Amino acid sequence: MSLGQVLQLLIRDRLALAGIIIVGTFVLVAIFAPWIAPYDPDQIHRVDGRVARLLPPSSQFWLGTTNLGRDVFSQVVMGTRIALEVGLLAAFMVTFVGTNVGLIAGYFGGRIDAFLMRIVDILYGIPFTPFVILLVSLLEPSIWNVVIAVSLLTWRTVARICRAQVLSLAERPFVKAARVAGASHWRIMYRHILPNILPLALLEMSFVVAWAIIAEASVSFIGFGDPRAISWGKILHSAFIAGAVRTAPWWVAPPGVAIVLLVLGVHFITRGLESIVNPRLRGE
Amino acid sequence: MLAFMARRLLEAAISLFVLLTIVFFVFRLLPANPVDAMVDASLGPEAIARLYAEFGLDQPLWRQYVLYLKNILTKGDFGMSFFFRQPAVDILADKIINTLILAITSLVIAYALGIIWGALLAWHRGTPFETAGITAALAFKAAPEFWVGMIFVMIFAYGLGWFPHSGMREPGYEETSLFLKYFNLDFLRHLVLPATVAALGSIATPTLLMRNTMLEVMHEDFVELAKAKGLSTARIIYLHAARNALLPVVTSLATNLGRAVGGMVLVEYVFSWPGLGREIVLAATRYDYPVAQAAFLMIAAMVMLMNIVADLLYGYLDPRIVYK
Amino acid sequence: MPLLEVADLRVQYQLPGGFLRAVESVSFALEKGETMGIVGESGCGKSTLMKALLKLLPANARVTGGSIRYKGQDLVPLRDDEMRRLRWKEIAYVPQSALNALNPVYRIGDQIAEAIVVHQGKSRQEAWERAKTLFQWVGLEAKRLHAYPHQLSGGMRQRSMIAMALALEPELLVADEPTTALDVVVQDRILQRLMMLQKQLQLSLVLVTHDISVVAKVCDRALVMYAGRVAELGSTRQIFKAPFHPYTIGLLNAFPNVKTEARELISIPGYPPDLSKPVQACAFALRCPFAAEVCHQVAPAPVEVEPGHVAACHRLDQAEAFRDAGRRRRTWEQSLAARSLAPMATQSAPSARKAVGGDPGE
Repeated sequence: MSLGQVLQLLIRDRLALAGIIIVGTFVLVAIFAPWIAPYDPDQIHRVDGRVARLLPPSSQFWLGTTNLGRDVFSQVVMGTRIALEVGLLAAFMVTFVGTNVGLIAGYFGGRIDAFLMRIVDILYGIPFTPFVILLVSLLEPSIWNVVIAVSLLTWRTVARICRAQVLSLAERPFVKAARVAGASHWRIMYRHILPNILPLALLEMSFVVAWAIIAEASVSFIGFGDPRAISWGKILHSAFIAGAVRTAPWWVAPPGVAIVLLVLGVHFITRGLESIVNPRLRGE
Repeated sequence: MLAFMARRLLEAAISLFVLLTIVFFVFRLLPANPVDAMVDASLGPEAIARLYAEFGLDQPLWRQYVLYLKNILTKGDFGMSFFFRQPAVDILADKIINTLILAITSLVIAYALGIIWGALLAWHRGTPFETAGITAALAFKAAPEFWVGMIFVMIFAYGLGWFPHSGMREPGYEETSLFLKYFNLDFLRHLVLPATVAALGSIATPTLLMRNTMLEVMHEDFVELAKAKGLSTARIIYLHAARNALLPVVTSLATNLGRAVGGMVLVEYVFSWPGLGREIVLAATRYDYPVAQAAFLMIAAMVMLMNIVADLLYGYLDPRIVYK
Repeated sequence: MPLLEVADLRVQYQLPGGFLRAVESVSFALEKGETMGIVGESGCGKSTLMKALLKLLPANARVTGGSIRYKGQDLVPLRDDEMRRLRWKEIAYVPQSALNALNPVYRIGDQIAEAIVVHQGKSRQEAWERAKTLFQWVGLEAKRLHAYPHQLSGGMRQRSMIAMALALEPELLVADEPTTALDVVVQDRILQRLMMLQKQLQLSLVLVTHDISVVAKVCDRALVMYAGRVAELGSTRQIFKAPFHPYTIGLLNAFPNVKTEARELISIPGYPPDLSKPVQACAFALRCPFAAEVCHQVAPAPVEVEPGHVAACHRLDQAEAFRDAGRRRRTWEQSLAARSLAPMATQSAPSARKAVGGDPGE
């Protein structure tokens, strides 16, 4: 199924369309963030000669200020960039690794399959959040390390699902025909089988984007995010430590709402993709 | 059944062993200075030299590995906490059950609510109510648990004052019997918010799964007959349709037990709930590696245990799986 | 006043492509204590008609015209809660496949007792007592009440369904192909039992089936449907003695009857029309060996041929000749549908054409 056809089907599904609009809006905000944010997110503001600590929302500071006098709205706007960067980066990496492993395991079968799936099984036994916390505490805090920490385990699901699909495809006549015609393994895998599992891979990637955005927010919330970057998780980290839960709801609510909206948009798209990949669901 | 159990336990043992190895290498390969992960730099040169000898840090890697395995598997010795100067095990031992209670309670709530909600959504298929319901379920999935926790504390603890904002009990608690230690009003009051927040975080799966299985069941002839019999809508949805749609959802509950245990980390942290999850976060933040390592291994072991329990439950519900 | 009176009923399905007119202008009446058989091929609209009567139409179907009067009250505009007062107490239903219609996780006894408990407010004990009586009526042992559906044979399940339907002693019973899933011997026994109960309890029965011999055995009146419309309606005796609609003639020739002399069974070549593309013609014209030009242009309206007997055909005056011709297989190969399906066969039958007495629209 071509990308164009997929898009067409997605747009017809109302929820999926809403998802595309939401995510699209966030992408635009991320691209134009420095122009949309009224202030520098790190700038400490002063009002009447004193630091503008914990000011509630006003016409000057749309979402109020933090305990250090920083504009919450600007921070939230700039945070969009990290969320999308990490989400998309992790999603690409995970999908790339997972799809290839699934492809190789499912196609070759036998010992290679058993070996690869043993690794996947072991990875399945590792609890996600605790492992990620362990990793980021040992590594230098940076965006890349967060992405790696999140990606190291997540590919296990993609691999399993792609492998299942490849297994069912490998028995099909067109594969056998290609083999008889003398095509090499790699050619069959990448030119014949891969295009057929692409919609599934795309669906998995969609899941991972949502997963990665929340995972990054969680890591930053605990305090292990990149110290130079602004992420929604980091804003909530500062808010939590400063006791804003008791004193400043305007600081606590917006970053979370942003996460919910973006991830919800991704979930809508995922559901749309799901009914494309499983035509059975489409008839409903 | 016995052979099945034996096989599962063997698999778990192997997995545990592999996990211990992975953790060992993670701690030695990742940090810039691996020794920092083993020895508290603030101790002073003689203490450090002594610890070097004791942990065999000057020995070749494979010797260290053997020592590590020996300590954990024979003595249950996970090392000494840098922060508390006490064995890591002592700090963590009584936290295990707290995490278990939170995990199981939240999962049960999530599935109970999810089943009812999913059945309702399936019944009102194609209506705006259904779309709103699905959106709500997905929104709960999209909301990070730690943030929902903060919002709940904001509204229900500080705002309305209905529940305490953190902890498991009021300080200064005295009660001897184990039963009464956990089955009392104070404990339950402290449990409500964290359990609810954790439940909301996992409610999407049972809701959507139940909805899907219900949709299949709803087309069955016996549902049509129930309508023809003039039974009330509630009766048809729950006693006839849902009753048949339940099995996959209940098996999903079993398989998610392990995941739930590992997933309490952030909720425990936000609510200062004294469980393993909170400990691993605190330990990581303090760079107290022995405790972080121990907490991680304990969580992983609990997850494995829960998965075995789940397999047993699953085998009981669907006997075919045992003979696979 | 008739117990059930259907007037000019129209039911449509909404499909992604357009509308499907499943039931078009159907009218009939049923008196108290009568049995009516609704007969036709799959897709003729009889199941839709039945579902409309029971108000069990799926979400994408709608009654677009006409009325269904039960004891004078029109059921069509009733809301769910209003209809619920009539369900099972007045109007009961015996579905086609008992295995699928019984809930697999509950015992039969509980499923029968449920209606009694819910509608009559009796206790579970009293309801089970009543269930035992019902089982006696249908000829099943009381101990079977404790069984789960999959533990019973097909015949037993069907009898339990009948027992369940009679639980509240309804006035009107609607049965959907009650014996299709069973072998002939069991079929006959169940039909006998049903007839006996019907007489005993003074039930009015609507039986939906594709098997015209069942109608012959059990029903006082018959409604023959084709492509959503009424082809013929009358007492069973009238219809079997002198069918007027070519489709009915064909139908009667397609089923064996031990009483009449042995002759070959003839099936009607061709397929029912696509109901999403309505045409201004007799729906049967393409398959009818007696179709004239008018038949391809105008849909015939039902006309009374004798008291209590209507048929919808333009060529009712030729009915007697058609009945004769209908007994010969060659006749049926003359329709446009038959000829388009088997072009070779038609070229070698000039004599048969003469015998028909009417040109097939040339």
